Amino acid sequence: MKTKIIDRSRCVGCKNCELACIVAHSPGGQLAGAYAAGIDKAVRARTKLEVDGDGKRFPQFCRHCAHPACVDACMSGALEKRADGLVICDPDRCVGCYMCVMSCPYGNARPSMGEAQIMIKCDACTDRACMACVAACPTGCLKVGEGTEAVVYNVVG
Amino acid sequence: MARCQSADTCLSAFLEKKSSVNTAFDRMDEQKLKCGYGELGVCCRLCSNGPCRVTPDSPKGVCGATADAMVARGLLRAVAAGSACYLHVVESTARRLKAIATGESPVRLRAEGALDELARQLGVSGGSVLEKAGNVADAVLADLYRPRHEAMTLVKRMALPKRAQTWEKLGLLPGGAKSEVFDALVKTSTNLNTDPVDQLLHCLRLGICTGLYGLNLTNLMNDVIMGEPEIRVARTGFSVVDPDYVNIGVIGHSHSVFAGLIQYLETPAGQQLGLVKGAKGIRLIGLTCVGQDMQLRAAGSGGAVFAGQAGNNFTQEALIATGAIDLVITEFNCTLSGMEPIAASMKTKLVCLDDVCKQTSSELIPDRYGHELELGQRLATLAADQYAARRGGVTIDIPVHGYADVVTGVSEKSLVKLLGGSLEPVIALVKNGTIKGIAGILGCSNLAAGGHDMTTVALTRELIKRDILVLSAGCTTGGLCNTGFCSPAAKEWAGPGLRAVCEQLGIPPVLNFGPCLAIGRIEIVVNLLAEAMGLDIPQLPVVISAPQWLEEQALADGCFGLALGLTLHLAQPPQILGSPVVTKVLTQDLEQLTGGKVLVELDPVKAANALEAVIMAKRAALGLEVPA
Amino acid sequence: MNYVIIGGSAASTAAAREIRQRDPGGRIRLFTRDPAFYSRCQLHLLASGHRQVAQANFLPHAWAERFRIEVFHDDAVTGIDTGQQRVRTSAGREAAYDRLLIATGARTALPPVAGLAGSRTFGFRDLADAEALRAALPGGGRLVIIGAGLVGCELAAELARDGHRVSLVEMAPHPLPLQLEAETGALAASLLSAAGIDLHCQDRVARVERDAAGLPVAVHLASGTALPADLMVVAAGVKANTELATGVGITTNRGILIDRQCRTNLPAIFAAGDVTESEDVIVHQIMPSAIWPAAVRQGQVAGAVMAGDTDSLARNTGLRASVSLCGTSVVAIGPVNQATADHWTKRVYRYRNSRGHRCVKIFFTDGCRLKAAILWGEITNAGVYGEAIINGRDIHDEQIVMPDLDGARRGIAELSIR
Ligand SMILES: Cc1cc2nc3c(=O)[nH]c(=O)nc-3n(C[C@H](O)[C@H](O)[C@H](O)COP(=O)(O)OP(=O)(O)OC[C@H]3O[C@@H](n4cnc5c(N)ncnc54)[C@H](O)[C@@H]3O)c2cc1C
Ligand code: SF4
Ligand code: SF4
Ligand code: SF4
Ligand code: SF4
Repeated sequence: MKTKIIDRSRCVGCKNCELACIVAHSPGGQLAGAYAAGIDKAVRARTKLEVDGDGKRFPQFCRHCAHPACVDACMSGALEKRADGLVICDPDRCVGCYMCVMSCPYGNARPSMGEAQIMIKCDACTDRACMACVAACPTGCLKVGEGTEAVVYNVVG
Repeated sequence: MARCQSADTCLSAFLEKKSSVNTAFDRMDEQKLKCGYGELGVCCRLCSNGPCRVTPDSPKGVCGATADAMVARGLLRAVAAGSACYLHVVESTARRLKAIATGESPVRLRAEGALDELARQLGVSGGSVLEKAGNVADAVLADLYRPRHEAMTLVKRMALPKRAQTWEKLGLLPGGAKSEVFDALVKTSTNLNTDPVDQLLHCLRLGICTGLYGLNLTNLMNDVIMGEPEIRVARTGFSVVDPDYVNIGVIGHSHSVFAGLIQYLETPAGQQLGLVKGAKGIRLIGLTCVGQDMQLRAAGSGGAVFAGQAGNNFTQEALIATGAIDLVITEFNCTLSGMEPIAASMKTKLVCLDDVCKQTSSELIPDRYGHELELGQRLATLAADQYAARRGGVTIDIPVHGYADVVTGVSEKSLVKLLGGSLEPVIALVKNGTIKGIAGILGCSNLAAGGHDMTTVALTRELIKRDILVLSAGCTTGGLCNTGFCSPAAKEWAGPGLRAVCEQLGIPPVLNFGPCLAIGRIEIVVNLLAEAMGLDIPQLPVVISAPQWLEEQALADGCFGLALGLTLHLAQPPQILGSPVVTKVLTQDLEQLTGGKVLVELDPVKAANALEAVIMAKRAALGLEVPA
Repeated sequence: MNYVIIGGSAASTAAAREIRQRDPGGRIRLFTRDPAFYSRCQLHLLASGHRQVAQANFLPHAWAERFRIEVFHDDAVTGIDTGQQRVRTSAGREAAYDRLLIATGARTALPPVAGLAGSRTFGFRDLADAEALRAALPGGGRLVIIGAGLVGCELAAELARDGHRVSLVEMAPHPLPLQLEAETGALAASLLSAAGIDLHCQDRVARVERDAAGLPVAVHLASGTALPADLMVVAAGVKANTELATGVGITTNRGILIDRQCRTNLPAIFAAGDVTESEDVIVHQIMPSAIWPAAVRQGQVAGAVMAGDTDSLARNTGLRASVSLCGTSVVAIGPVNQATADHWTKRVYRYRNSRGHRCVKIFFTDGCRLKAAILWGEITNAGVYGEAIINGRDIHDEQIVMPDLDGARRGIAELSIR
């Protein structure tokens, strides 16, 4: 399957992945419109650049876990681990209880902002040809390859 | 990896052939991944707490600046820088005029008639020609150097009275131009002004400084020094270069910086320098806007030593790659850094006359007032020596490129002259609907909006097809000349009304006003139209577009257009879309204030539709026939 | 292999799915007293009418068919014959089992208050409760909710939002006593009051006054306050549904005792979810775990082990809650109130984020270990703290007061759960 490969040693902290994700999930899907209604109404990225305990940049991406804690926590059935390996949220079923936010050990199940009170998470850009974050990453920190898991962190650096 | 394409297919083919040369057309692909924060204008690098980027997770800078504040600050800084660039040009032109007036400079004034008109307009007197010239220069310099709290006195003499009233009402009458720039920098520093509306008004004031001083007064003083434009037919494109001559490429924006060199080359002694090295002589090759200026005024100065305009900003690297250029002289932008390695490989010498455009490998030979002829001689000698040293060692390959029948030399005065003494014929054509309106296609070229000159050409094609007369100035016209739009045959691409007019007057559907400084001339034409029709500018069926605007100067020019009350089209938005307030003010609210507004549309057909709709709405409001 | 599952909710359905994934040929029968699959956690939304029962189904479309589960709705198991290994149901069915799972959950516990039992007093655990309350609400009367725990608070906020007149009574000094400490408790109280809820903390329902027809008139509190009442909802604790187990020799305390494989003391019988007591990995105590994720996880482990596989409750805890109080998100993890009395260090970080929200983060640490946390107003990354608490991860002192994760995230990149 298509695997997102993350080599965090290459991350320069430009946050282009975040913005690309915001744009990909904004109505219209264009950069020009992403902030048009004001920052309070802009959608939130499904990913976040964080600083790790070691002080280094840590691009924090959903891992589409083999045993997703977010799915176990979901009391509405909105979150599902699909047969293709992806963990996907159905926004119509989500009630915004944020049990998943409480449960994802990596912080990738996130409360929405600027949208209805629902959780948001990486959908692996299933409706796009290429994952928006990967396409926007200028350093090669994010790449797509073949593998058996949806997301792989190369543990170096 | 794909090389960026040009609307000028000969140029694209030449770049294809020269694939071992790295140009902006190649680097565009390497840089295709853009930073969205920069595009939206929501990355602030003003202080050590930054850079701060606005996202829904971090909606404010550390200082508390919102997206609106960051965007407005960024825009005002850019406009201030752009304005500063043009003010640098007008300042140095006025100082040259002053140096000539005092007798310090040996440069001779080529158009005394133009001086009389300018002095009259500015309300400046003087017994002798030189005294008058000195007083004009003093009046301009005095305004430029005024403190911010003192309004500049020439504004009301340059502007349409109705406009000046509107500006006064809105508090837009600028204080001393350089102080306006200075305070814009103050305002946009960190933890100072964060009111987007105040900053946008400051942009408009800088627009007025830019337009009336940076553009118009530079043109009018250069007309006095270098001669007035006259309509004539000329060749453009790389084919203007003859390898048998010593070829000096010129890059910049200040025609009169070359006064000494031109004056010297016009003498037999000047040409002799080339002849003794075995060349047929020494000639100047136009690049960027200063070349456009030389082409514009070739009838009055340098006609014999100016080979012609080769191309606009992004053609310079290719021109040097032909191997036929021995020396490149730069005095302002658009001096592309990318030319340096190409010049090195072609053994082309780079000289710069003003440290504002100093490059790593160029030799700085400062242009000093009073020493113009010495400088001219030194440059001619350098060029001839370089010719002798490099020819034989480099391959010369000049493509067949450009058009031989480009109509040039159009100015506010030469146009009136062509029309028989007034703008009435044009007004009549507009009123009866033969021409629906007028569009100024202005500014730069970039590689971003579809490719080099792509949007400029496509939009122009759409407009003339719709019987809209196009006036062009800047690198847009450089591109339009090399794609045939400024040649009489272009009438075939025009709609029936405009084509008939072209045939009747023997003009192309796109009138080539020359350099970007001549955006000011087009705006004078607009002023004259408003005056003749008894209207204010926003009422006219006139629009402007800077389809492929490139740099900060273009933004400052654009602000002048907005202050004048014109609808300004841009193919790509400035870096403002992160701010709903700035975006809304510029694209909507401003129309209630000055009458101007920004219209952003990348697609040339849609843009032409939108611009046509604006023209039609203005026609309708004037009770003019609105053709279906 | 015959599997019988008692219950049709979080633990039971998770178990059924795990069994099917491991035993394609086994027969799985699931008996539930409920008329349909629905998420109990959404009962307040069903009571207010903001959601319908069909929307509250937490299972994927055609779940029973896909996993070939024989589901018997509205059919309660009435007895277990451990010798014969079969169960009897209220509809008269009998089902033999090789493996049995008891996942009967819990029910509302009515406090022994004079006059409380009777008409117009509702529990709040089943669909029937929510529907009965929904039917009674249009009367427009005064509603008294007893207990300001998660269920009471959520229901009160939901109904107050729709304009109902709601009183909320809580014995503890502040709402959500198990999830919040004094400072955040006070914030919760002011939020609920600002939402129009008539809140009475540190008070107790002493008796319910009823008229001659037996209809409620007022709820009298120990403090002497009398709350006019037309409807009452009891949300002051639950009792595990252990009845089936106690009679047949299964060891129970407050719930059925299970080990890390969800086994009861009887060999073929497993239990999972709110009906059980198990070891909590954060406090190392045997206790009930009354939250959905714990029930799901226990169901998964039970299912895997019943089907002959191995799995373990390595991360079992019920000490986690996420609640949205009138639009403010709150997450509490770990024994926050036990902590206050303990030798742990409490650090409070108060701030207003740049969206203008008031936020509080409270951390309880034991040396360099994070033990408990309350996130008020900004809950992003809550799970990362949870992970640190559950795993006993080291935290650097100076980092923990930061609003960000820093220490909590240390090494998370390399972490793989389970
Ligand atoms: C209003 C409300 C809101 C809640 N909100 C949250 C929340 O936001 N987050 C959270 O984590 N938890 C929440 N909970 C708790 C959560 O619902 C429970 O922890 C969870 O449902 C436990 O699941 P379970 O499968 O163990 O038991 P239950 O959900 O209680 O299900 C028990 C099942 O057994 C059936 N049953 C019982 N006895 C028999 C019998 N004899 N025969 C056949 N079937 C029987 C019942 O019909 C039911 O189907 C909430 C609970 C309530 C009531
Ligand atoms: S949101 Fe978290 S738990 Fe869920 S799949 Fe992604 S990383 Fe795993
Ligand atoms: S917030 Fe939505 S997706 Fe997350 S657990 Fe709650 S219902 Fe499921
Ligand atoms: S894959 Fe798509 S949804 Fe996921 S983080 Fe990247 S851009 Fe966002
Ligand atoms: S785009 Fe790539 S380099 Fe930039 S922050 Fe994201 S992961 Fe890091």
